[in-house]
Amino acid sequence: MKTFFKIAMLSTALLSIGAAQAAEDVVWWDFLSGGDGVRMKALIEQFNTEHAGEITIQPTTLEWGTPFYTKVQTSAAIGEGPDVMTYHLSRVPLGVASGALAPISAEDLSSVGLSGDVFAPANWEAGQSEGAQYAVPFDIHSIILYYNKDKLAEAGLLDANGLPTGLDGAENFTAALEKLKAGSEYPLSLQTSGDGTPWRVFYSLFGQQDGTFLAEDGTFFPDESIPKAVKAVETMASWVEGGYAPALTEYEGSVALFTSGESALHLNGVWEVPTMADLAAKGELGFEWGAVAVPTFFDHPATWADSHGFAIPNNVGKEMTPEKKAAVLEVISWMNKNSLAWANAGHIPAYTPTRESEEFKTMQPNATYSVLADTAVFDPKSVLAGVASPVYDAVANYISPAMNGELGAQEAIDEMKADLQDQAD
Amino acid sequence: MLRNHSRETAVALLFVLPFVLIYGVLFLWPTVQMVLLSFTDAPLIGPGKWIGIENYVEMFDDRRFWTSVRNTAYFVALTVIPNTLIGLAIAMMVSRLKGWQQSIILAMFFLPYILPVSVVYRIWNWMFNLQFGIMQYPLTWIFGEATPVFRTQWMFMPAVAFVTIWWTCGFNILLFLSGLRSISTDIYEAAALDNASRWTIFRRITWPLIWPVTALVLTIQLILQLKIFDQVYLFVQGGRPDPSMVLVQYIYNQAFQKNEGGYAAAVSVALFVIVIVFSVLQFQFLRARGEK
Amino acid sequence: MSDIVLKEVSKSYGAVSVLDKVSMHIQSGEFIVFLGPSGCGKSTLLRMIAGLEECNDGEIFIGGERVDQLPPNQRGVAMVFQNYALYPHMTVRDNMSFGLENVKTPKAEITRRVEDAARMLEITQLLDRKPAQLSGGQRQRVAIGRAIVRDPKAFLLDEPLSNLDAGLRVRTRLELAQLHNRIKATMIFVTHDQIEAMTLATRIVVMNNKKIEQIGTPMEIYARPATRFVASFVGSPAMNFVPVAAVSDVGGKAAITFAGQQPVQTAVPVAGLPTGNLTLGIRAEAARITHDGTGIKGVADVIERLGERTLVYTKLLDGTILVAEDEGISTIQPGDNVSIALDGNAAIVFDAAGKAFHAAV
Repeated sequence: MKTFFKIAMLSTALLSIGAAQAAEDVVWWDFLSGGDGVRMKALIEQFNTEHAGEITIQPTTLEWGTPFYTKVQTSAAIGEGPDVMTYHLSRVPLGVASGALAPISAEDLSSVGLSGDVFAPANWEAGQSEGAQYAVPFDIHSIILYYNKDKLAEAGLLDANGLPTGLDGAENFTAALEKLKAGSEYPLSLQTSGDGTPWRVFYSLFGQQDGTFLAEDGTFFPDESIPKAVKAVETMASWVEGGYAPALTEYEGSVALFTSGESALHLNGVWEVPTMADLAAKGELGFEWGAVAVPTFFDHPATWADSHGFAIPNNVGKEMTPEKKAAVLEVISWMNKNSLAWANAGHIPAYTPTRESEEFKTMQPNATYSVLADTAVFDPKSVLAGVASPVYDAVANYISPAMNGELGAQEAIDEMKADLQDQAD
Repeated sequence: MLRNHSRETAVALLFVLPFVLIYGVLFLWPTVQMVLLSFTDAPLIGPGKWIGIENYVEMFDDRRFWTSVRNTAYFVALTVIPNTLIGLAIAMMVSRLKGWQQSIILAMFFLPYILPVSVVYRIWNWMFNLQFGIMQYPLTWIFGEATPVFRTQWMFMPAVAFVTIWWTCGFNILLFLSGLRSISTDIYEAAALDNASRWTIFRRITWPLIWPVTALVLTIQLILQLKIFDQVYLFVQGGRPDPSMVLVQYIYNQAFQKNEGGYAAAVSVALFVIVIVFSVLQFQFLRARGEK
Repeated sequence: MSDIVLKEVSKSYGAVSVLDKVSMHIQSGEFIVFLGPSGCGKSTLLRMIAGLEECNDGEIFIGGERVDQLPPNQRGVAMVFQNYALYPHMTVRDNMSFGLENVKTPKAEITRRVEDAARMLEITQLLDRKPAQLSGGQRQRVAIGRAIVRDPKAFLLDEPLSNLDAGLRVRTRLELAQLHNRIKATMIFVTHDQIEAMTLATRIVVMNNKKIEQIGTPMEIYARPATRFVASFVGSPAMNFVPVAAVSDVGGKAAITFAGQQPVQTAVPVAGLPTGNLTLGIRAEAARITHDGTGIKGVADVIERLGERTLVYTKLLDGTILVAEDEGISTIQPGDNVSIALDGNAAIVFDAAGKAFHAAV
């Protein structure tokens, strides 16, 4: 009897080794934690189930921002990078310049049905550098305005459809904040320290005035754009100065102010949609929430946007086998084709067939704010820009202090310009 | 007995060889490489073009480099001597205790030292938290309102220095305590019979006799604090990094964020020189004082 | 007047008692030696007089003033430590002047006193050196010098010779005696070396097991020890102890018989002697080898030839070893049968508890 078991166990072990050899393992790195991380894990599980015996994704989640990109760069340089990874399209210029990314040929892409045709043109091109494709878009994400329906109703700021009204125009927005002050500790919560939200809001407000961040000739803030930038910073600073927004508040704190019901409005990325949705589903939110596109403070609608995409690191000294490459392309393609689930994480799918599907068009609250995609302003294309870049640092050094009144708006922009120009030269 | 000298030399070399190899491979070679790298425009990884002293010329003209130098010097001033004096003071108090009481108190002071810097950062970030931090009680009492210590420019360095002292003084206490223990009790008894007051005993007996340990602690501290990085890097997260930038942080920033390997190497060489010059100078000065 | 008086002084660490009701009166100018084996409490007693150990019970007076509650510096005593306890970072001059500086003695006065003491101790040429540059003997002198400059009421010396080599120890001992003669200060000297005690002391305090066994001049201690412990601790070779088999009364004095031997007539009065379990104590110089066959009998075991005399370790009939003296040039070989005459006037009788019974004075 014992012998029988031994043989059974042995053969099972042998079988499983055989299976493992046949399947291609794809090492995956991402920086997705929190609400959208949960959804990505579900997607990966679904992928692995559908591809059982063929492809297995082995995911690892690293810390967002500088830690992630530093690790990618150093590990790729010694051939220890992953097979595929998530990557901000805003960071592609810097990634290519530092040699961290491997190009993906058009033939390879078309072999799994991916080409510029199935993405928005601007989105697709954001993954390119000097004509070569380095990243495949996965989503467009932006910032939106979360709101507490109960508080807005109280202040008379909801229209007949139950959507916020009267928030467009910088003065109107301030007036609305004043109305909301009675019912909230801070009418507007947003991150007011470091980089991140301050950059995203600044860039949106700047874009609404057609400001140029980086001119063709390499000048940061060309002269005619300086007053626009100052105006954007002044507007942001006025929220803190007027006591509408909390000073020196970090990202997590700004989210908590809204979810705990202490703020009526919250400016943050679409990736916090799952947080709200999950809290509401568990009945822990305590109020009804909604989200709309960022109001138009100035001349026309415009919202900062970036994209998550997929990229293959330039693993030095480690040639990718054709089988591995096929598996990686399958992963990228499958993820895009199943990106409706990713839309659940608040993002707008990059893959046009998904974005134009009936299911997405009726998905809430995405449908309400997906108009922003038409007026999105993407990060400047520069090796100094993108997530965890010198531009992000400059925001922490100049714009955030200006929001908190530690620096004048004019002074902040002048110094930021000088600093970035200095680093570019 | 006649000895075979060349044979003895060979054996001696054989014994020294492993150290020489390890020292050469792990210290000398990388150091030489770093110096060579500083004369190139290399990225973080991979070779670069030889550009002579261009990096150094640029460095002397680099506003952010000088900010880092100033901040590092400021941090050294805030920590080295205070940390040493506090360590000595606490060691003198602890040395008055006996047996298990001494062990417990010593363990309490030493405990922070075994914590990793990330934990130290978490603890003090909470302690100073604007909404919930216990340190806000005294801060509110002093400043009349809750104070975001790590977001207030002039408080940042002193606060990080304070946390650093809290974190590391346990080690200094240990060094001082062993120094104090090596002073024979007879000497204190002789001083007691010699009519020495407490202050006289400290000034004329303890302080001179503990001086070699003090010089050692000061030098270790100087080298350590010139290389400050972790605490400043962690506490500035989510804040304004530039005004409190220190040298190692600047090297990290240039190498890992800006991909400027050659320039980062030049700044590293500058720091290397600063550390060597200052620690040698200080040690010589302290030794000279001790011999006086 | 700087008499030192101890009244029922006791000391214990927790439950462990180290001194039990010690009393004595030390006259001004005396050289007192506390003698005893290690652990007897002699050093503790000295440190209590100095004020370095607390006094649990009893009273200490120095020069008529009660000092047991005073800190060390207010007792007017100076101490020489076993390890000298010189300040290693100070020159000899600074070591000697430190105590005077602390009481704000004028500079000129300090210089004068330090130089006087240095001259007396012949260390003038060492004044600018540091302790590490001195030999053991030189450090010893500096330690004494440091005590002298303070002109204390009493000098307390804690085994000051124990770290010196044999030759230096003898020389320093002599110098200490000379020093005491010259400055006539009260000195208390702690040692476990009975020769130091015998040679230096005006009076010896023999201590054992937390208590004083006897206080007396060296000759009293040697000739009329109060207890068997004192008798055995003082003198070299150690006193012989022979079990007593029988005692008979001859004219009021005890005639003592050992097992299988002729009786020995002693000068110890029979009156007051307990019966049974007695021991006779006799020093080697009072037990002489007779060459005419008289005296008690035994067999020579070990012969020690010291030159001016010979010590014969003799096994008596009952197996007891008795050390007897013979002249310097002795022909006795191990294994020879010997006869020994005991000087009954020098014999002492001890009872079972160790109490001594002497001949009447």
